[in-house]
Amino acid sequence: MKKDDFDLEILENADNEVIDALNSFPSADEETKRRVFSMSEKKFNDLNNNFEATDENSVRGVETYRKPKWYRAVCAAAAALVLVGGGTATFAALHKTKKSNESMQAASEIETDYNENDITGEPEPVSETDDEETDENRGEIIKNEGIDISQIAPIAAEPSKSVKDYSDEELNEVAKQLVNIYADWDTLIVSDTVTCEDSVGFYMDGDIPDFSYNYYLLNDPRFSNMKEMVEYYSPYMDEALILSSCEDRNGIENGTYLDPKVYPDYQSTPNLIEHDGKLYAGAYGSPYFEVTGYSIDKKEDDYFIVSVDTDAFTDINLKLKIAKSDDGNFKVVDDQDSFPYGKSFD
Amino acid sequence: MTGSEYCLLLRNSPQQAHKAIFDEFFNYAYTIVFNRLRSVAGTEDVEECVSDVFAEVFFNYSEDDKGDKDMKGYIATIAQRRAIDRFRSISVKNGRSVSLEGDVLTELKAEEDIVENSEKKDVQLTLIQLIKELGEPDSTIILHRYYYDRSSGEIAKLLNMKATNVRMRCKRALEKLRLMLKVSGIDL
Repeated sequence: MKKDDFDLEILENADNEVIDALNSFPSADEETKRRVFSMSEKKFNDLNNNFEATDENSVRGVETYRKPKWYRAVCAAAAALVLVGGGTATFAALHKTKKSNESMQAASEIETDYNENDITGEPEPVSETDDEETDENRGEIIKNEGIDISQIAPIAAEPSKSVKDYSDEELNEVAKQLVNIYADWDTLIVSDTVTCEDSVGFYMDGDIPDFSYNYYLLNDPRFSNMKEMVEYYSPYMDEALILSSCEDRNGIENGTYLDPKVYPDYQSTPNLIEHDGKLYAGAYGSPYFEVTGYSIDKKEDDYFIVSVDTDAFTDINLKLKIAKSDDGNFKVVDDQDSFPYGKSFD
Repeated sequence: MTGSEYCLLLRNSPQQAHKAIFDEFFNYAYTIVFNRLRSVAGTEDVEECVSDVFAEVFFNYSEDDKGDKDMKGYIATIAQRRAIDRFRSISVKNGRSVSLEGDVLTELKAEEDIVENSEKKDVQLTLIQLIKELGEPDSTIILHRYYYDRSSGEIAKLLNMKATNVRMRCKRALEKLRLMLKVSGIDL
């Protein structure tokens, strides 16, 4: 048959999709298939028996190569040089890392001092006592440790003086202290001290048991249970506010289905829980943030509102209500944010 | 056939396993190899290359293998590599060094010219679809005549037909295909 000028050359060098389309047509007859299969089997047997390459680049035979005598001495000297060099480099790197850590710590101290100086007027020593302990107990590190506020004196409010009578400068001092302490408390669940070494989980209606809401052990050296945490923050924050994100789940067995009929009081997902006398942090909650600025929004007789700027990835629009408390100090008594569900002071 | 099925078969009877995998993927491997070698190789070279592909597949699977490989993808990869090796080898033999005027240019610039590649692919897929629309046995006749470059005798053998019938059907099918291509705006 004389071939026409028609040619399907365009189908050459096709990609997988076109190859798949072409594959729907038979490519060769049965005789060709038998022939190719025989060749394949023969080549496979050759490969199996001889492990020889079959292409034109194959190499046969072995040429013995003897190294010169001086080669060993040179290699030994080179190896020694590498060892010494490596050791020196490692030492230098470790030394540099240590220096770097020290400078980072110094920066941290400066930052902490900045807050604390602003709060108390005196620089506070940076606690180093817990570093080693927490390094061992830390487990998976998530975020930085919290600040040590135990030495910071709360700012007293004058009983007879209205908040409105305070100058902006005075209230800014109060805000500076409390905003940072609030941030430390609010980011506990994403702090460095949350470990994955111990966890408990509970599930409620709508949850899949295997994917229960989990809480991870909070290995914070500053407090180990709910009572201690409340004592730690209560000089600066209203106790009700602290407890609003924490729940006592002692006595409820790990993995329990929190049936609303049986556990009507446990239908929320608090940021923190106490279980078996230990504090656990929820897997989900407020994002980690650092305070980047704040401003006083509103002044009333008994309280003032501070609008807080943060570096949180999600805009949390945080506002704090700071009021004169019964014990005579300024405290954060309420918060308002848009994450995850905003609430209003009104 | 999955990798694990093949390995199971391989433990019982290597010969049967080889035959089974060959029967299933021969057409696929042949299509890939021929597609790469069409412009430079003859039938013998293509068959040699396909046999290399299966020898390698047989050799690379052992009875102890877990068989977690995707067989189709695995065979496609080996087929493409062996076809490229063979293409280079034949090009060297033919004194066909990498030339800016040769087919290699198409391969070299393929990755860069995305628009042209995409258009080419569309034409290729449309063309195959139109050939399929001719219906059997005409589509196979056209493809083997104008793509695989087979004679009417070879096609007749493949389709269990008389060579004269193949010639007649081929002529009519080509006329029909030309018309379909014209309507689709494809100029080959």
